Amino acid sequence: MSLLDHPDPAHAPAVERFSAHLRTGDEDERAVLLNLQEEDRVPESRRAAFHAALAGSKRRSWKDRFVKDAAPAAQRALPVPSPRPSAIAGTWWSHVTFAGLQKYKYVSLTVHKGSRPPPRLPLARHLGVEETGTDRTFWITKAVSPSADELRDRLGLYYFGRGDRIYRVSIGVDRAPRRALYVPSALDAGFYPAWRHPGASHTHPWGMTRHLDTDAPSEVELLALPDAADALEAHDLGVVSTDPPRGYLRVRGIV
Amino acid sequence: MSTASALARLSEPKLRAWILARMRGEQEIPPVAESRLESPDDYLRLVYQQSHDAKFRARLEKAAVGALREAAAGELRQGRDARAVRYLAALANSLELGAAAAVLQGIAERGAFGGHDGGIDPGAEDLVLFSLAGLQAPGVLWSGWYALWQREIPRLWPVVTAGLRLSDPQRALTILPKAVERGERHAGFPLGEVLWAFATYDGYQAGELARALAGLTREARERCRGALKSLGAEPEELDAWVPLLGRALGLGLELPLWACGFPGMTSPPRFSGAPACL
Repeated sequence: MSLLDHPDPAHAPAVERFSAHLRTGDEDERAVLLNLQEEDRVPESRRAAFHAALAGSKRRSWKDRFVKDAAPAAQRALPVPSPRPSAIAGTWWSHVTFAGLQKYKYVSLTVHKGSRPPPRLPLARHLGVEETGTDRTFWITKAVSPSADELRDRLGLYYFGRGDRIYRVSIGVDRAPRRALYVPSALDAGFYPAWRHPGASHTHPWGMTRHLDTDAPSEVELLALPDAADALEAHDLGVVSTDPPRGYLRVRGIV
Repeated sequence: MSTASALARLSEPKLRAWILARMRGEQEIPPVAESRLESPDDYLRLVYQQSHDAKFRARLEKAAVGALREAAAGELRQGRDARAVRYLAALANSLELGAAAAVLQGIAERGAFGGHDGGIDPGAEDLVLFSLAGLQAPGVLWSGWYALWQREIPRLWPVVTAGLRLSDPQRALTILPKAVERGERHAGFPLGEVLWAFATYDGYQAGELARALAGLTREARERCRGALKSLGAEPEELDAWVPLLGRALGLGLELPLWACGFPGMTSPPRFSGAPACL
């Protein structure tokens, strides 16, 4: 059952208004609508919580009602089973840009134009820990590639632009056998249009990224919370040299 | 229609209002994936990069500077204008908006750069100084950066090293011994990153960093080399950037220890007789 189906009658008008906003919105908003319609894995109780939060939100903006209240009410709804399936074992990574590391103060602001960023960068704190100390979920994958452009496209990272330098951080999945991991749902993605449902036949305990050009399910992905087992170091993977493709929107019939 | 194509149709005042709302956190569509370290300015940079409409790009540049000016008129210790200044400074840096430099300087002077500690939200201040470092005219702000470098504000030291280097690359080399000392005294000072930024700066000739560090003790050199090695410096880079004593002290490369400080000496010292202990 879709995330937008069969709300409690008391919540139905709010859910329908929200759907209508997305239906008549821009291409990214229509892509988000498809994501929510395709999401059939969220348990009924969490789906109901999503509907109730959408209806109960007092925020002025319909987008804020979704992003700040409704989606968080049912995020992390698909935990990876414990004990973990053996297929989860192995090396996982999270990918970030050098500019992102600087802006979010994971690294210092001393490397600037005219200087080459180093191959390895010590991080001021574990990935996912905000400057305030609050933990935030982040996305991890097993994908590797010698090409920063290919990696960006395969991971669906549509906001990695031309000139962005990509770093990766090793995530301690094997080193922390008890840490919680989650299969990402459309609500974890929120307003992220390039997220994808892994497909009806997909039964593995992980998600799949959306290829920015072909729309194909490309790389395994999970959500994690910060953990002391994660590396406090980022490794340079190179510079993206092309604009992010938008082919997935064409394949989905959105543009 | 996409948000990008809608933005391309906006007049400059409307574009400025949209940008300001986004940077203040009032306009979050397209979404900002903070869990992937995306920030509100990233989307505008992508739109700018991907547009082939020169008029729109020019309009966006003016609107971004106008939005920065408008946000700067607000309360910058905290709140929505402080947030807007933080991300507009980042946008000015990524789009290299030279016209923003004067506005950034005005904002910076309301904080520690102008002697008004705590006058700006720290997150905004860091990015304002970072952006100002990249957009400043050569030499003009040197004394301001240097005054800040001499003050006990460790949070700002790293970005100040960038400001000094990009203001006057040659004079900036003179701060490096102090930077090494701070690397020893202050656990949070990113000595490796500071040295790396100088070592790889494309405005320096080969050997300039080594000469700037010539007065360091062997212990301090080992510390510098360790810091650079942890960032991935190769052995030949370490030898070129921070040679160990006896390799280069401005006298040429690969000098043995006995030749250091004796430019005229071309062969090892000779003893006239057998050592006394034999």
